[in-house]
Parts: sequence; C-alpha cells; structure tokens
Amino acid sequence: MAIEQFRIDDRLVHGQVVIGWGQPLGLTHLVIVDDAMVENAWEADLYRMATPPGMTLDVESVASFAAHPQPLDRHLGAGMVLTTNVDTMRRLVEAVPGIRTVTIGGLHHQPGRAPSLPYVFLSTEDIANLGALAASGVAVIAQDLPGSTPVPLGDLVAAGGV
Amino acid sequence: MTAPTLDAGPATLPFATRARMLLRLLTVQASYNYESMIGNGIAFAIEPALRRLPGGRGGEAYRAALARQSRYFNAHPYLTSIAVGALARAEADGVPPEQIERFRTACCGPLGASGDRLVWVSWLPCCALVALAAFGLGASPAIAVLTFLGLYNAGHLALRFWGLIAGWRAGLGVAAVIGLPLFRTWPDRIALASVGVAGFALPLVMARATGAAPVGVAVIAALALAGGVALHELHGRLAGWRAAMWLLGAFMLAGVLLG
Amino acid sequence: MSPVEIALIVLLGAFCALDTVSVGQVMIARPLCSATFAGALLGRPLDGLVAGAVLELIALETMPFGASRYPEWGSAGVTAGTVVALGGAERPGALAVALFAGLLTAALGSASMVLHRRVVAAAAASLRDHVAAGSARAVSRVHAFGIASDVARGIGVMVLAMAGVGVIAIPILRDWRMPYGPSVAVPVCVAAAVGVAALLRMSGGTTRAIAIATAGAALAGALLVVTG
Repeated sequence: MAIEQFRIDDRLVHGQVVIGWGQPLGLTHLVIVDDAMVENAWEADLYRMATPPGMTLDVESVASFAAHPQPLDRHLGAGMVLTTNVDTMRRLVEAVPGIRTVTIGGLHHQPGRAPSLPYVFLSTEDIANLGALAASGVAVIAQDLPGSTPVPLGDLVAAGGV
Repeated sequence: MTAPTLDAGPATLPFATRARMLLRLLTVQASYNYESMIGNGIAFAIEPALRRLPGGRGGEAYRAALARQSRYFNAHPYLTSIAVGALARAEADGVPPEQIERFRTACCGPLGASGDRLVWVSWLPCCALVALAAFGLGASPAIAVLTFLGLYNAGHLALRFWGLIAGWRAGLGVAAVIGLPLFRTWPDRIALASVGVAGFALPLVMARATGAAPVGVAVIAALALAGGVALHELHGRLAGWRAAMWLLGAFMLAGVLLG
Repeated sequence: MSPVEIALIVLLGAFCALDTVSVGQVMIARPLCSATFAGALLGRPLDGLVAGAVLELIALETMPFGASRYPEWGSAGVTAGTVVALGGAERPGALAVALFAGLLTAALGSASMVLHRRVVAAAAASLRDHVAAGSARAVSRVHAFGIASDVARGIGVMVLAMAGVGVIAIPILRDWRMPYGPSVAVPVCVAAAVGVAALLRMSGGTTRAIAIATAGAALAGALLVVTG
C-alpha cells in the first residue's frame, strides 16, 4: 500500500479525511497512531464505526507502528497515517525512516495555541517540534483539503506570530 | 477506560426540555468561530438539560458542566444532536469530567465523518437532483422549490430529532449509534440512487434551461460530460465553482465583444 | 429596480445567507430556492428558477467541511435570481451574466464568512472568562452576537452584490451581442460539467454508478425525443 499522506489532525477520522481526501486519492486504509487510543478500545471503536465501508482502520502505538511499518503492505490501494498532535508525529518520524512530507490537516484552538490559519493553531512547543521535523529533512506543510493551497512551515510560523 | 452501555440508567429528559434543546440545536452553528468552532453552540443547546443537575440552574454542577460543554467542539451540525443527547446523559449520570472530556474530543471526528457522508454527500444532492428532475419535467417554481424543501427537511428534521433521543439513550456508547446502517450503508445507497436521478435530470434540465432540441441537448451533454471527467481527473485540486467563475468571466467578454 | 425592491432583495439575501450556516440550515440558501425567491420577489419566479436550477448544478460540488472555505450560496442565489429577473431569461446573455454575478457573490460570501468567524472569535474571547465560569448569560450573548454578525455579513455582501449588479451586470446585459443559442448553451454546459464532476466524486465513478446514470440519461433522452 502506498501511504499518500502522514497527517496531523486532531479530529483524526472526519469528513475532510474520508471524503475530502478519501475520494480523490482513492484511500482504502487509515492508520491512527496514538499511544493512548491503543489502551481505549471504545475510542478506537468509535473511529472504526465512522470509517466508511470499503476503507479499513488500524490503531497503532508509535512503537508498534515502528516495529512493523510494513503491515500496510497487506492492503492494496492508498493509505493515510494520522496522528492527533505534533509530538506523536515527531516521534513517529524519528522511529520510522523514510517519511518525507508531513501535512497538518487540522490543529484547533487550545489554551496556549495561537492562530496561524483558520484550521491551524500552534503552541511554541508545536513549533519547536515542527522545526525539529523540518531540520531532519521532512517537508512540513498545512493543507486541509486537496483544493486548498499548501502552506509551508515558514509561512505558518510567520502567520502565527508565536 | 470503558464506555457505558446503551440505556444505562433511569435518567429522564422531559418533553419540554427536549423541545427546547431541539429548537436550540437549529442554531447550533450560530456562534461558529475558528477557536471553539461550535463549542459555544453545544453549550447553548445542552443548557436546558443541565438545569436538571443537582443544585439546579446556576448551581455548581450546572456551571461546571456548562463551562465544560462550551469548549472546542466540531462535528456535522445535524449530528451534534447525537452529541448533545449523549453529553446531556453523561452529565445527568454524573460521569467523571475527564471521561466526558475524552469522549467529547473523540466523537468530533466520527460524528463529522458520518454526517458528512450521509447528509452532504448523499441526502442533500439526492434531494436537489429530485427537484432538478421535477424542474426538467416542467414543474412550476413553487412545486420545484417545495419538492426540494419538503423532501430534504423531512430527512433533516427527523435526523435531528432522532439524534437527540438516540444520543440520550446511548450516553457515551454512541459508537453503536454511529454503527447503524443509516450511517454505514445508506449513504452509498442514496449516492447510487442519486446518480440514477442525475442521469435522468441533467438532460431534462439542459433542455428546459436552453430550450434546445434533443440533438442540441445531446451536444451540450457530451461536452459537459467531457468537461466533468476532466475536472474529476484533477482530483479536487481545482474547485469547479472557481473554474466556472473564470470561464464565465471570459465568456462575458466574448458575449460583449463578439456577435 | 425601485429602492424598496433593492431593500427587499438585500434582506432576502441576508436571510438566505443566515440559513447557510448559522440558523436552521433548512437549505433555503440553496440556489434552487434562493434564486427562485428573488425572481418571485421581482415578479419573475420562473426566470429565477431557471437560474437557480443551473447554479444548483455547480452547488452540487460544495462540501462544507469544518473550517474549510466554501462558496456561500444563499446570497449568490439571490443575486443570480435578481439579475436574470431584471434581464428576463429570454434575453441573450441574461442567464450567463446571472450565473457569473452569482458566482462572484459566492466568492465574496466565502471571504466574508472567514471575516465573520474571526469577529465572532474575538467576541467570544472577550467573554471567555465568563463562559469558562459557566455563565449561561455569556453563552447566550456570544450566540446572539454570532447571529447579529451573520445578518450584518449577509446585508454587507448583498449591498456590494447589488452595487455590482447596477454597475457591472446591467451594462454587460445592455451591450450583449452574442445570439441566444450559445448565450444559454455555454453557461448551462459549464454548470453541468461541474455537476458531472461532483457526481463522479460522489459515486466513485464505479461501473455500476455509470451504468445507472446511463440508464437514467437514456430514459430522459427517450422522453425528450418523444415529447419533441
């Protein structure tokens, strides 16, 4: 399976993912990487129920994904890997070589986060983590939907004024 | 952490409270903003149920719950009724705040995905296409508009009403609600039916809007099909409405300059 | 248009714009309805319906996901219905100009929604401490402000749209030279192409979906041939 996108999105599986990207990319498989969710079966079930027929969903921890990032090969078609925050994605990138681009699809307001885009709010810690990703050679962009203009990390940080 | 099961307890939601919540749910997106999204709307809609918490309106439990419910939330607007019902039940049952917070965060995406598939991708286009077919068949303006509004809102309002009840009954176990065929299999079936209606409606709309003979309609349809396939192949990278705006802008110039 | 008609159209546009997101979402904002209402208000409901039906084909594409930007069809439909009713659908160019005016208004409405949401966020921030303390009054005030702001947004969009109609659309209609046939065929074809793309996305373009659509089209084609 080709992983079309490594996406940071605090809503994980929602309309932008299953329809907005899912239909044009022909996504057939989603992987949520979230250490806490692995322990919460009900939460994983909630996301599974929201995954359309014809699309499968796995929930992995960073460690389990890093231990066998190739189980995705058993799936045909295209896939997307989702994390709910920047920190998890940074740990994933450190653990799994070969990730070239990370897309911020949605990081919404929380105390301590400042707006960069209508759908991206970043804290100083987020910016430090994203900076570490960029320094390791990963391209970081923000793009909620295929029709939106991708915004590079430098512009995000400048817009946020954090 | 485990989720409560369906019909977990004896808590009740009186009709008057439900009615108030439903009316408020019709404005759930009124204070939509990029920070809390519809969080304030959730608090506004759930408030009548919170009045029944120990201490009543303005009591400590009421104020703590209202503050909790006003935080960031985003989902499909119609399916927020499920969330509001479930969250009201959780507050009534005295579920620990941290569990409510975790649930609130977790149900944003699933209620968004399920609602987007059922409503925006299937039910709304289906109803619009039925009304377009009525237009193509010669319906009067009143009939075409009433066909659309009547059909669409029968589903829309029923979904909101049912969602509130289903959410209240399920409490934090809404995964069972989201797993119903209504959200799992119906969207694809409705979408498939819509495509059949579209195949029927589009040539009739073209004929009535242009007044062209069948051959002319066939030419327009063929060109539209080619254009549609080309746009589809761009995989969403170009918004069709923007492309249409620029094309029609150029056509304006041609219409004025050529004759 | 008389000043009273302009005022009524502006209010209708604002009302439909409010339905787009903030209140109801009963879909009177959809072009099929909003354009027809505008046409009816100006005494030409059928012309409004024609423009609304064609614009609806484009609106089939719209998916109002989360914080993404999307066209605002309520004010757009009212503007398109106004233009086509002023020109008369039988007039060459009226439909094309109406659609273009509608799409420009949809873009303006889209931009205005971003601004409106920022204004509501600022208002919510000013009451954040009260809301965080569980004040129902503060929650209601933020909500009421959101509705008032959206009404103001809709009125603002419609005032600009009506100015555009007077300054740009009417002169274009007056100077239109192209004959009727292509003047209506091109905008209908463009709108239908966007609709076809939306349907392909919606159905996944599967063989089964294409077969069902083809069957529907064959039925419509037979009906058109039989009825002449």
